[in-house]
Amino acid sequence: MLPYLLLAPALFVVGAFFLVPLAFSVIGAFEGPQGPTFVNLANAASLYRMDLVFTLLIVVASTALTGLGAVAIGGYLTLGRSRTALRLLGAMYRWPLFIPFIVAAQAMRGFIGQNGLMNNTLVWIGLMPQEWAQSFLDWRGIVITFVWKQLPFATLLVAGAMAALDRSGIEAAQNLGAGRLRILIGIVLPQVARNIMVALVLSFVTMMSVLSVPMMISGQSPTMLTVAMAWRINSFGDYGTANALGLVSCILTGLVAWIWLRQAAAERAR
Amino acid sequence: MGSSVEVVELSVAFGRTPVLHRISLSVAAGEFVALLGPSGCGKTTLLRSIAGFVAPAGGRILAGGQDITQAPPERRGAAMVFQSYALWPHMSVAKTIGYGLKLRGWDRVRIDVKVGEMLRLLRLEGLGDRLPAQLSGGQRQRVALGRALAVDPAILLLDEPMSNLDARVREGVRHELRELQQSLGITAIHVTHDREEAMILADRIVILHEGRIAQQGTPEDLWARPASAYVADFLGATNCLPVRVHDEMAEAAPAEPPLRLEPGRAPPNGPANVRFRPEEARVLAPGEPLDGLVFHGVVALSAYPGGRWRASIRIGRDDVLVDVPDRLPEGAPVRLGIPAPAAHVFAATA
Repeated sequence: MLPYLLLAPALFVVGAFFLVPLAFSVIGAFEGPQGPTFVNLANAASLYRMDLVFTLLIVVASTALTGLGAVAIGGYLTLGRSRTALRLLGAMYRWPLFIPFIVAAQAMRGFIGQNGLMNNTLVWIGLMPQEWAQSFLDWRGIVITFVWKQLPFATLLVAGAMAALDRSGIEAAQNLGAGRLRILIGIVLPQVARNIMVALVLSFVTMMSVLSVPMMISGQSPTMLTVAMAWRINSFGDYGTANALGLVSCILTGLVAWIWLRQAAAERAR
Repeated sequence: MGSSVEVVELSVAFGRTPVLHRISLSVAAGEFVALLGPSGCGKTTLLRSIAGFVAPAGGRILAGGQDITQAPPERRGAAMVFQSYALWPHMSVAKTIGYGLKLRGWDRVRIDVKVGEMLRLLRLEGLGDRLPAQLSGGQRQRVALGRALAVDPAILLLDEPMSNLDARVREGVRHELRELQQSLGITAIHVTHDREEAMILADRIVILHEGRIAQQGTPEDLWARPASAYVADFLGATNCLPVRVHDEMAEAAPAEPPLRLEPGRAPPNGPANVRFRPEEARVLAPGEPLDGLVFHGVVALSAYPGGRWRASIRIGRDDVLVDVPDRLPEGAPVRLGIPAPAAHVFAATA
C-alpha cells in the first residue's frame, strides 16, 4: 500500500495536468455543436494542409541542421587540437540555451531583417552591395532561429556522450593513420548514434510546439501549425479545429518517438 | 622490418609538473626494449610521446633516422597496443583488424586475405564476425595486437598490454608475443611494471625512476649488477641490512670475515646497506665458510608458500626474508649467508 501512497502525488500531477487536458483536447477534436463529428478534422485538413507540410518541412530541416551542427561542434570539442578554439567553443556554445524562444525570435528579427544587423554589417564591410540585402524573415528565419536555439541543447547531449567515450579508442584509430574526419564518422559517431537520436527527437518535439518564433519571424501564410491553432482560438473561438490541429501535431511527434523507440529496441536486441 | 628509434634529451611536462627529464634512449631496429618502473615513473608518458599523443617540452624523437618530434600520431609508422585494448565496441573483429589497411587504401580482397592471415597467426579463426563484447580478455588482447600488426608497422608500442589478463593466460601470451616479434623482426617498445614480464620479453630493459633513466642493460646484466638501491629493490632484492664499508671491504657480523667488493662498484667508506633476494641467501651450518657476507640472527617466523619454506629472520632491528629448503624452528639462532654475487652493496644514502 505504501508504495502507491508515495507515488500518488506524482501520479496525480501527471494525471491532472497532462493526461486529462490531453484527453479533453483529443475528445474536443471530435466534438461539434451537434455531438460527435469529423468536421473539425476535415476543416483542419482543408484549411491547413499547406501549413502542415510547411511545418513538417521546417521542423525536419531544422532538426537535420541541428544534428549536423551538434555533431560538428561535439566532434571538434572531442577531436580538436587548438586549445584556444576548444576553450572558446566549449564556453560559448551553451549560451543560447539560457535565452527563451521569444527573446531569441525578437533578437533574430533585428539581426536578419532587410535592414537588420547582418545585412548592414555585410554591406558596411563591403562584402555585399546594398541591392542584395534581402529579408530572411520567412521560413528561412524560422529555421535559423530554431537551429540557433536548439543547437546548444543537442550539442550538450552529443558532446557529453562523445566526451564519455574511451579516449584510447580514438587514439587507436589515430595511431593507425585515421584523420579526424574519418575518426568522427567511423569511430565516434557509431558509438554515440543513440544519443544523437535522443537529441534529435527531443529537438523535433520542442520545435513542433513553439509558437513565438513562427509568429514573430514570419506572419505570412503558409505558417506553422502552432500559429494556426492560436489563430483559430483567438480570432474565431474555434476550439474544435484548434484541437484537431493539436491532434495532428501529437500524432506527428508520437510517430517520431515511436520510430526512435523501435530503433532503440532493435539496437538493444542486437 | 623494424626501424630504429632514437629519443634525444626528451623533456615532457604536464602543466608545471615535469614528468620526463631530458631522457635519451636509442633502440636498434628489431630490438625489443622494455620500459620498466612503478606507476608514475614516466614510462607510459615516454611511450605516448613516441606515439605522438604527448607533446614534448624539449628534445627530439627520431624513427629510422627521421625526425618525428612534431609529426601527428597518424604519420609516425608506430602501431600501439593499448592497456585497455581500445577496441571499438561497434566493430567486428575482422573489421577492426582490417581498419588500418582500409585507411591505407587496400581493396577488399587484399584486406580479407591479410585479415585471414592475422586471424590465423593470432589463433582467432572463426571469430571474425564477433564484437569485442563477445570475446574473452585474452582474445581481446590478441585482436588489439592483430590490429596493430596488420599494418606491418616498423615500430610496435605496447602499453602494459598484459596487465588486464589473468596470470595463467599472461604466461602463455608473453612467449607468443616474443616469438611474434622475433619472427616479424619488428622493433618493439614495451611498457610494464612487471619485472618478470620485462625480463622474459626484452632484449634490453630500461628502468625509469621519477622521469629519469635509472639504469639500462640486458636482463642478466641488470639482475647481476643493479646500479642503485632503487634498481636492486625493483629487481627483487628487497631485503636490506646495514653493513660498514672500509677500503672496498664490507663488514657484516663482527666475528665473520669481511667481503671484498668488486672493484669500481664499492661505495665510499662508511655506513652502507647490502641488498639481496630471498632466494639467493642461505642459512649456513655452524662453522660453514662462505665467500660472501654473513649475519647472525634468530628465526622470527616460518611460512610455506609452496615448494620451499620462507623464513623471516631477525637481525638486530631488521627483518629479512630467506627461502630455505626445510622449516626452521622459531627462535632458533642462525647464520645467514649472502654469497658474494648476490650481495649488492650501496652507500646508506643511495
